[in-house]
Amino acid sequence: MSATHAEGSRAGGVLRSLEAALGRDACLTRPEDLFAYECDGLTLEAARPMAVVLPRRAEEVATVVRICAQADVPFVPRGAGTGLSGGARPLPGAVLIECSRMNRILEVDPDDRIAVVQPGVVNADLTKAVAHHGLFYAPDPSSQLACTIGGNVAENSGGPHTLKHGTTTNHVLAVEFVLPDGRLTRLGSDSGHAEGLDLRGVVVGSEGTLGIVTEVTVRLTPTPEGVETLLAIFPDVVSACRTVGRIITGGFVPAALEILDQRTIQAVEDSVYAAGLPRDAGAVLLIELDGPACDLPDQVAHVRAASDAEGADSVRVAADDVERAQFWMARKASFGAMGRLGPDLYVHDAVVPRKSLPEVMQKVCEIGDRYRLKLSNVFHAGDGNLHPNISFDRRDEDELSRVMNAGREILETCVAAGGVITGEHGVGVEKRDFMDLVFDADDLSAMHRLRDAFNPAGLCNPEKVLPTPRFCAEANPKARGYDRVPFE
Amino acid sequence: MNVLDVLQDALGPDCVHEGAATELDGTWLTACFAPADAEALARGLSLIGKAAASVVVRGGGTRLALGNLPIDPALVLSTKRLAGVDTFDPDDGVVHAGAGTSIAEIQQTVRVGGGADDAGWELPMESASPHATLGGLIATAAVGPRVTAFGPPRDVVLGLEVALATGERTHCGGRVVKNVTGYDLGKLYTGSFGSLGVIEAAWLRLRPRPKCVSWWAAPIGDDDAADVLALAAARLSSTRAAIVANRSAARCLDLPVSPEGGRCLWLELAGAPAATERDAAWLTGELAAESSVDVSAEVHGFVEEPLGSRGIRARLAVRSTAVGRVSRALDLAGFGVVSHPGAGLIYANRVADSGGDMDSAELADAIVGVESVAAGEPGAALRFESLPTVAKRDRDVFVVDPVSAELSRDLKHRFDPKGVLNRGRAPGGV
Repeated sequence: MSATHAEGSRAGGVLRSLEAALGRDACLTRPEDLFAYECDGLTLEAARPMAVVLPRRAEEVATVVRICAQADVPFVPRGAGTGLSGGARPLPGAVLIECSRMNRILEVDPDDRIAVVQPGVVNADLTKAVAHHGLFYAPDPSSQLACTIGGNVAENSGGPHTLKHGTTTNHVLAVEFVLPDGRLTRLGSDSGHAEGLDLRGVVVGSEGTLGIVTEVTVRLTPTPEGVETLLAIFPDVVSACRTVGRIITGGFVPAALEILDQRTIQAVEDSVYAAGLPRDAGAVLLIELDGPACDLPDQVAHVRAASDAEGADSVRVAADDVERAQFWMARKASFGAMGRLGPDLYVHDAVVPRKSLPEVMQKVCEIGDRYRLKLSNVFHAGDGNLHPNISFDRRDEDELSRVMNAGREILETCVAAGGVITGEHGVGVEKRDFMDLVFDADDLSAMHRLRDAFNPAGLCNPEKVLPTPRFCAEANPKARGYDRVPFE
Repeated sequence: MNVLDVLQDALGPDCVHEGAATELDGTWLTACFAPADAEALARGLSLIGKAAASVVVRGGGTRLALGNLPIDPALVLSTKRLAGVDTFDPDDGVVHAGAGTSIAEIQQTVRVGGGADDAGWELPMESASPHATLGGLIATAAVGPRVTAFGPPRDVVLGLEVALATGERTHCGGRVVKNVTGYDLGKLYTGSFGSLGVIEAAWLRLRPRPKCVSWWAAPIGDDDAADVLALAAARLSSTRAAIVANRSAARCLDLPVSPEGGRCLWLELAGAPAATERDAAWLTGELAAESSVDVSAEVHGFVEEPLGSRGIRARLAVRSTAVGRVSRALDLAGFGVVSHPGAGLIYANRVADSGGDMDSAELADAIVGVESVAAGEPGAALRFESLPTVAKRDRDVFVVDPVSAELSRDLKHRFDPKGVLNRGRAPGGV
């Protein structure tokens, strides 16, 4: 029997086992069905899996994983596919495990302020489901209308309100988890104080490489008593960034601090999402304050004073929920508005110390100019989390090359300023080979040790997060047949 | 050559000494390796591993009693010289300090500077002892009375520098407050009881220091209605500490006990003037609370003081709404109980009736008492924070499920294949 024939026979055996276990309606194998799963939000990285399975229960996920493990077949978990780093990009010959059918909210306990959900529950739907209890689920990535809790756990997702309310890891109390050998276990505890090593903590943000989450117990947060949203207009980005620094040292923690630069403002105002922002503004700073209503007037006064001290042209306080939504519209629609600037959009993600923002922003803009790119900036200024966005056309090979080179330079600039290469999008495949900008060989070796303890066979979402060429001896010998799409 | 000679030869005579003994569950260690800096630490660990020796890692020694029985330690590894705050950034609200730095020193450093009205910052970590070190609190994931507002150390640590048992110096995380670059090894090391690596230094996230702080006390009953009120008080927006003690615990704490019996609730309110005033009005109205002194030191001491052979202390972690019910069950079982309703944590002490060493019958009864209460509460997490040595011989003081224990052993093997660090002490007996 030839190697190809043996391979095909093995794949056929796996597919028959999957269909027998889950039913044919839960297994996709036709090319036209697999096409939609070839990539996530990082469309530059694509590959076709052997099959896509859609389990409905944790036991089915465990069965799929056991089948794959026994057959030596890699498997890749996927939520809604909104990820921006290629974390859910499959490999040829891999089984993609798509969790969208596991979309039930299993328990809401408003007295204990916890909810138990399946991984396919959409982030915003969870908040909607608990709102009448005066609670919400705090991590609010920009994709929250589509992204799932399971995906949020994999990426340790943040969002604009991370500054005050934390990221996913601060809100996950426990996970039910399928290990790469197919065993089902629970990590963490309902109180958030589990005994033993913080295995729950390392699973959050592990990008689906340590196992597959099948249930999540999350902490719910009381809806703030009062909210004030302000929009400050500045002549330039630097003064907006300096204002952020003044606000942060005001003795309270704002709920959100978001900046849009001029190019973003103009893209938004030229689009259907126009929010009435002045097109000639250098930057807009969106500030949200929440907490006890009695505390907010002083905080608003401090924000006004900070903005005025840095030369703000105007500061508006939202008069009501309608105006608050309008302020946020510009921020939330910004990525969509960039579709007008080019058919492709590269949404970068890096973090720097907050006080470095003014200097780094200037360098990022200079990089964009030098590479002759349409670069605009939207960022979570309170966290120092930048999102330089580059609009381009991938069919223009020269432009694509400039986009990639500029991206690397942006990351190098951020790391040189004391930052890191990703604040919320994750490493995935996108930044796997940039990990050495932040970590040396010993650091990465420690990460390998963690991963290998959970995933010794290397079948669970291989070739993500950690660079593989450097660690040939430890690289997964089972993952084969994958030809990388060159990044530069 | 013994391991001390090897260390002395390689790193100089001032890095090792024989002196005051460290006692650990009947094991006495007089030899101590105190590296002068992180490089010496890493080199020393490598040499200790080559000598097939094992160390007990010690910071301030304030939480050494917590852990399983040590297995053949040869010497103490002291982190006291890895001390000092080398970066405090009042603009960004972050600080970087060596593992041997006292919490008190860090608190003092960050109090000044930055903020409107010079409000300054505070480190959301605390200890009962001025000797407690940063590395020790992180390694043991220590919490105190202000856990309601501070959360556990995992929420404070931004980045760690860690020397592995195999001699490598590594770092994870960083100084930025948002970071998903690679695996969150900081979560792994925090609460690992020094079994996977020795913390050299840490980047920490600070909180704005509150402008107004006040303490309040109120007697509360022993019923469900009182539990609901206590939890509501713990959840006030400006509550920084919420402590409930039963009569037995309050007597041990030498704190006033209500003549009506029942329990006592203490609360610390901390925040902006308007919110703290409003919450204080709620306390006085709903609970008849009165102004009180700061009792955090006494309470913290109660839940941290090693009991040795005199008794046991257990810590249970349960859902918030179960704290009252579980606390009462422990009260009925003869325990002094201190709980933090908003955080779901309960500390239960029982000492020998005689005031001396606990005899075997009392000890067995106390352990079974706690275990049966924990078993009756779904999802409860249990550890024995203080246990006579004899009782540790056949149990893991940390109650961990089998799969997690297996993963922990695997991680231990990968990170510390020769068992250099705190052999046997950590959860899972690793």
